[in-house]
Amino acid sequence: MKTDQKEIRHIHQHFGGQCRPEDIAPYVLVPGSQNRVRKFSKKWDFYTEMAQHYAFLVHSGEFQGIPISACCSGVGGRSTSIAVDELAELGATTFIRVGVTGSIQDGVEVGDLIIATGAVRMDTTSEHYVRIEYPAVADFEVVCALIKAAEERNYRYHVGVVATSSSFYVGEGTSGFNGYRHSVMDDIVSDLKAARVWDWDTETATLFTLCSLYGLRAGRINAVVDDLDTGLYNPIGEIKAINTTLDAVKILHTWDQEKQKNNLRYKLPAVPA
Amino acid sequence: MSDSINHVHSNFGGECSRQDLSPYVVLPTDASHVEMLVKNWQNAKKITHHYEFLIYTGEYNGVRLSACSVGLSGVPTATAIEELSRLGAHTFMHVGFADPVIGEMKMGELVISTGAVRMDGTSLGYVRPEFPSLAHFENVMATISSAQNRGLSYQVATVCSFASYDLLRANRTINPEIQRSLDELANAGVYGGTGVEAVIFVQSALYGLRAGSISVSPIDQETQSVNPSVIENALLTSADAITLLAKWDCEKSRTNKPYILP
Repeated sequence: MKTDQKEIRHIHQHFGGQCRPEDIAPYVLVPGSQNRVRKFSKKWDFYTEMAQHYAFLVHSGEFQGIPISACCSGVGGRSTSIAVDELAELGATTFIRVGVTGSIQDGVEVGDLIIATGAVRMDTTSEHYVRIEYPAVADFEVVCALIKAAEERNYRYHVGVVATSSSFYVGEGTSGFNGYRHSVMDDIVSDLKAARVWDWDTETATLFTLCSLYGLRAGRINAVVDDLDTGLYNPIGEIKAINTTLDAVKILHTWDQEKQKNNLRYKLPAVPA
Repeated sequence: MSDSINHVHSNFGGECSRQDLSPYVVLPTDASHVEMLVKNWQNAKKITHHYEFLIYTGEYNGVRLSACSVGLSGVPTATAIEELSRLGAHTFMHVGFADPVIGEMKMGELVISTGAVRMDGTSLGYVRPEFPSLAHFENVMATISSAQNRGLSYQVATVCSFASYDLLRANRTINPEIQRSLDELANAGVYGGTGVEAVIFVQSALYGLRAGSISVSPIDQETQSVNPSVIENALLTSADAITLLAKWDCEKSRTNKPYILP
């Protein structure tokens, strides 16, 4: 316990009082799984476990000299919102969610990466923050950094709008226990497919909405793990998402340093002569 | 005149063909703004003036562009996007006057939108309200670059597309619910929009096209009059931005890359 108990206003503040602002880097990776936090931090120069509070396993350290943190968001909008609120209060400014998914669109192969530019707000949690008509949009610098990183590694990737559901099974059109279904489920996937939505998860719309409201940067990369050939889960793309994310942090860090040095507001492509 | 039409607005009353139009289209709100814009173009040719839709095609900074006024609300805007996209347009830059949410806009400061709050009504006919109304990130970057190049003051923000213009004025003192909505949007950091960005962004996302938008407040608060240089700056910045997008597209084609990146 690093924070004085008297300073804690509620159970989740500073992840149960286990984190102080100096424990969290500006760049934070927010996977949904604790195992993925460990996979990230194994690739860093060094790390320290800052907190283990409910779903929120927090590691901080350095990656190739860049201060970095990773915090498991847990599964779903509610725990994601807690993670984002706490991390933002502790000084995080750039968030990259890294997850696994099944594609809604045709032509996507298992192991492909999907980089989100915006998210359909079916998460419900974000409605508690702002009206539903508000757009859940990724930060364009983070989107560009993720694309650049994927291209430099020659990974297959797709870019576009994704969907965030408030339930993993029924909300995404997958039957519940004993084949439970109701009529709304029958159209949801075909409607989103027609709307060019790439994939499902249960966190991104919450992350994008909160970061947009708070003036913070957020992006998201998912690896496609549903193998349509076998019908089985195949996490072959997870390491690609991890590598791409870490490269994107390096790119963003370089851009941020350049912006600071040259007093620029944004990093932009070159203008042709 | 195109060959055949199947409804009154098809190909803008049958007066516009694919050959008449550039894939890169600036979308001012008003027909007078189209005329103001194309004065800066070379070989500007009037294609049609059908309902709100005044269409010109010409050249600007070496790039063939079109301009089409979309009107003040969602219905004509959605009609314009439908017709333009069917005629081969793939990149849009909207430019118009803003409805400030709560006094957040300085006269002449460009607001470059990354997304729009969908209070337009029309976009609900296209897709569920949870779908994000977002600008394409290449349009956002091109517009920022163009505003910087002109040395103009700008903000990059989420804007709100309101279905009503009067909502923002007389009605807010009558209906407390409206005031609460405006307070909520101001608290969320939302800037004023032109009323139609949400429609353009949603259609473009659904159809795999690119769109961006600039809104600007042209009212001088001291004199309560419109400053015409503000309008022209916004129009020229939007034309600069769409020209830059065309040049970036050439670069992408040359290097066989799907996106332009910093």
